Amino acid sequence: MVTADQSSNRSAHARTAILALIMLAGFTLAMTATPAAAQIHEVEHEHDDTGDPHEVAAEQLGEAHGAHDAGDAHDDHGDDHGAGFHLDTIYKLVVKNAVPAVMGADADPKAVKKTSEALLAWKEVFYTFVVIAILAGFFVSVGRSLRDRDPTRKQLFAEMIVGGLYNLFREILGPYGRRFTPYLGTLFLFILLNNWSGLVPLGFSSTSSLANTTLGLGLMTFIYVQYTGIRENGIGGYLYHFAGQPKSGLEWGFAILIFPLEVLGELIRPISLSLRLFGNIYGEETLIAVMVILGTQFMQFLLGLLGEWGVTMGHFLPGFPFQFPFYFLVLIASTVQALVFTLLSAVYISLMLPHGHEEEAH
Amino acid sequence: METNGILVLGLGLAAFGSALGLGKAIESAMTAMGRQPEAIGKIQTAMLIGCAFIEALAIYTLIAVLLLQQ
Repeated sequence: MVTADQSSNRSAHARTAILALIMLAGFTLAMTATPAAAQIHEVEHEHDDTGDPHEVAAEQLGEAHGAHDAGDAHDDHGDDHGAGFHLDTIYKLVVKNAVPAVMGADADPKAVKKTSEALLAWKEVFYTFVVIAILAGFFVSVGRSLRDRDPTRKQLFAEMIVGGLYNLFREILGPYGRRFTPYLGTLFLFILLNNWSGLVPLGFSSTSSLANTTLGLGLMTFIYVQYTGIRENGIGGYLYHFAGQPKSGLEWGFAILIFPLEVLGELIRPISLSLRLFGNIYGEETLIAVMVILGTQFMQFLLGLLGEWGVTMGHFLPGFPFQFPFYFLVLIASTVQALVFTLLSAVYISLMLPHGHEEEAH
Repeated sequence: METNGILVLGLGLAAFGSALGLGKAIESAMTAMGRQPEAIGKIQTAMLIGCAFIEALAIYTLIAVLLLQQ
């Protein structure tokens, strides 16, 4: 019986893994097939005509392929994205082509234009709210139907996540772990989903923009850490902590030197936190975007060798999925970055807590 | 264009140094984990935090390159 259970378990795992692989492959194909991959520099010069956006999109696509038809597919590497390559560009093209497709052929052109412009201007906010909706929807729906006996699958999944996070933070914060798990766990899940949302076709990692998201997260942690410090130690203890906890007269003398250093170190933390997250996620996103473009251009180049027939085929075929192996890298690295952000926040909080308790925990 | 080349070269240098540091940190952590498998959780956490600080140097360079590129 046990073996039967195990084997069915194993086949279930295998099925899940295969499903995940198929999903990833689908994502890859969808990403490559999006018009964004065709050419990115065409969108750089803005179309200021107020005409039908479908035509504009079609025009862009036609132009993109036209540029390749001219035969300099392998020549324009340098001047395209050597200088002004930016993630925004690829996202712009995706939105410009996807919005008319989603809204339907008989939608008002002005409404279509307005929607795509709003999506472009507010993309970080938009995708952040998508992530918030997913997280809040899942956890609220689980929280409403909590059961002690015979828990549902959803509840077990949520318990696994929360329990794992609790164990993680208990290692750093000791007895305080339980109190700070809600904030730190939410931070972790939010950053993780935001990082991953860049992998979904038409998705965008809002953590890959510095000023909009990561700096906000860093500032949030900074304020929370200061608040915790003042609440736990009182104003006097808080300042005493910044002076390096002097005891003898000599140490009080050094406190004058240590105080500004500690304050500076405290102020730099949110900046380094947010810069680290931004740099990593931006780098990953750029890597995937470059690989998508490379795959498409390589495909176009190969088809171009076939002559007229190949060029026609190039309009229908997506590029080579060069970015596929990097998906796994990005999946892992995104998790690690979310983990690092939360772990460092936990460490900063633990440094603010009264030190006696920390020793007891070990 | 030349400035960009130099910037990318500098980024490569930063990545090289960062990789050396990361290798050393992870090597020691792996040895420690092998010696004391029961402390894996704590060592892993400390290693991740240390790795984040080492990696940050390369990330700062990346951001400087992004800011300075023409």
